Amino acid sequence: MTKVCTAVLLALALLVVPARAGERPAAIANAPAPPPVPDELLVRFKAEATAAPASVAQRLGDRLQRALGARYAVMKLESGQTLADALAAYRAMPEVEAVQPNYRYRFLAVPNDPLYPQLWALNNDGQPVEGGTLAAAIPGSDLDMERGWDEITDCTSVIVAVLDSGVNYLHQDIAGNLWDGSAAGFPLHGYDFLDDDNDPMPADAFGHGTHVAATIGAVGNNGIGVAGVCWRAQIMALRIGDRRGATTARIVQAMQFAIEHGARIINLSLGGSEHDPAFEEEVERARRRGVLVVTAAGNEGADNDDGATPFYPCDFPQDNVVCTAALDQSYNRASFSNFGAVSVDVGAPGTNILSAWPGRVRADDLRGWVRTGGWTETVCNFNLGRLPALVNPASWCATPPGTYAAGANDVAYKAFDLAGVRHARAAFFRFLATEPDVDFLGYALSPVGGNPFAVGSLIALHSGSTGTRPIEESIDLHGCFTSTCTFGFRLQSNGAVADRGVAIVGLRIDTVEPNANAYAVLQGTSMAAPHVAGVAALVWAYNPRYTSADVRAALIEGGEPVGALAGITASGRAVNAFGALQYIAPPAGVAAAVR
Amino acid sequence: MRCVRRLACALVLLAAGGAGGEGLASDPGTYVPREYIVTLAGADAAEALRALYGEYGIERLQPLGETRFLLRLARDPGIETLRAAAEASGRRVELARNYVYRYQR
Repeated sequence: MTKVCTAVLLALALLVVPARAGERPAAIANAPAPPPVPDELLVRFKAEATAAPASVAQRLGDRLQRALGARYAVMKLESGQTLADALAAYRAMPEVEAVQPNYRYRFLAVPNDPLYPQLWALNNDGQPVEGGTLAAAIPGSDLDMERGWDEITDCTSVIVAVLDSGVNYLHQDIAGNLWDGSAAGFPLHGYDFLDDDNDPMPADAFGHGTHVAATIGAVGNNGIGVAGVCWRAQIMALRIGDRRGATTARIVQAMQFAIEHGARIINLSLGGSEHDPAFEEEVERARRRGVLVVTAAGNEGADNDDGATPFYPCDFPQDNVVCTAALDQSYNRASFSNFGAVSVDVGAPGTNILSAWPGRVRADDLRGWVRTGGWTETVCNFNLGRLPALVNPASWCATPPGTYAAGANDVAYKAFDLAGVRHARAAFFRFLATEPDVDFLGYALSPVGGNPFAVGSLIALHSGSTGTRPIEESIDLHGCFTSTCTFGFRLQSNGAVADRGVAIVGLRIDTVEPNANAYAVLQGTSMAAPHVAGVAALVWAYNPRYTSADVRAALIEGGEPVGALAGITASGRAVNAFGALQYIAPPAGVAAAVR
Repeated sequence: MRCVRRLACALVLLAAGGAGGEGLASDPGTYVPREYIVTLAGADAAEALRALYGEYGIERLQPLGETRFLLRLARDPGIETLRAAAEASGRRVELARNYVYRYQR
């Protein structure tokens, strides 16, 4: 979409109104003047002028290139004068009211993706983000992507490996931008090191990796959803974990895979607190192979360099690591973001980041359940707010709470339309207190509807107490991908002891859908890192001969100084796409003799 | 479009101050219990590791590159005991936990 034009009509408007600076973010307003067409001038004639434009041009040794209405004309300079001399000469003509160069304007590249206006990280005009937290915003605090995209939007020459929770490679906004691993035997664009197969779909419907991948390379300017930092990309999807995280073993395997299969950038939106020699060795191997590793600074709000709270891989000393802190919409450090004057290299947007999600998330209001016995739909007061809950007994929320019935065989279930999904999980929090190994809470599924404990399959049984802490459950709904899927709970007790019972809170169904067009807002240094990885891919595609060190230098030295990062990061800069693309390293090893 | 994070926040708040004084969910841990990343060079490395740690019940010994393995034991005597056994064998064996890394969202 990047276009160059001799914007005659636009320039005519500028003859009267020199700039539209107020309509652009500050970073754009400060842009240098566009270059003039070297042998043309724009002339506005006085209303009372009687001489024809062509004759005026002729008197100065030039010719009329084009008349633009009654009073405007483009003059072709043929007299051999410099532009400055020609400007002066025309200005001196009695018929001329104003004259200026005919500037060559370039359209700033703006994608047509409908959610692009919410992507403040790419172009911050102070906009709110639907589904995000309310936040103050300073326009212009962004990656300066539109000026960057004016140079390049296509990163397909650079493979970016996303080592994460998997990627929904069938998402409408990602499907076109994936690594083609067919020739190497990986037709599904990557590998799943968790399940040890070649399908990197997020089988647990956890969308972190899909979100990260789309930030780097959602298809841009396709009229769908969001735009990635790269409009065209080759994302290598490597699933190394589920919603609980990833382990050393899977990271090591995936890094080896990425390096061996040509990835030049590895995005790691994760971290841990233990020094891990195997992990560091792979980062070192990546360094030797010229692979850049972009990673998250961490979300503890801590100093990674204080000796007490190290954070890896951010703290690894290899110089191919670009560790990224998160900035908010005012380019303050996000409150959760770790920092480090030595280990954290740069900042990038990491709050209220809208990106792709593997499928719809169906938050259930815990209403409309088919219930028997003591199951009750209620709202409990949880100190920090009243939340819907499905409880048994009805008095679970009372003070003091009651107990469930002896001899209970109570079920509660609800139908969910899961037709066509690839994966789905029910996630919820449960509080449980039952007589251990005697009274049970069960979960069941039925693909054909009805009471899943009567016509479906029992999935799990729990007994005993969660104590004062809720347990977060994530139940695989595989086998129930129908329009009539019912999912339910059963509380069974004998006749002896009764306890406080069960509360189910915050139930939602996460899905992975083919042809998905779902999006979500997340916060974190996980979200900052892929912005940097995307800019790195742009820089590398723009400068194919760059080494990883060159790309890293461009990211850092081409960054924008940000006060909030000064002294708490190594560079004090936020990554800036335009700056990184324009950055040229000063020559090294050059000696000059001065007389 | 949904704000997944908002839901997560609500649940965290619930966990932090719910009815009856419910507390935070437990720390899921920084490493996988009974699993180690073991480095040992040599063509007989897998065989040597089986001999070295077989008494603890090797559930899994997966190569992770040329000299590295993921080792899962049925019974974990602790990393110091495993290191001592390696030292006594005269082979250069490096052991580390199979650490868990969290997504930073």
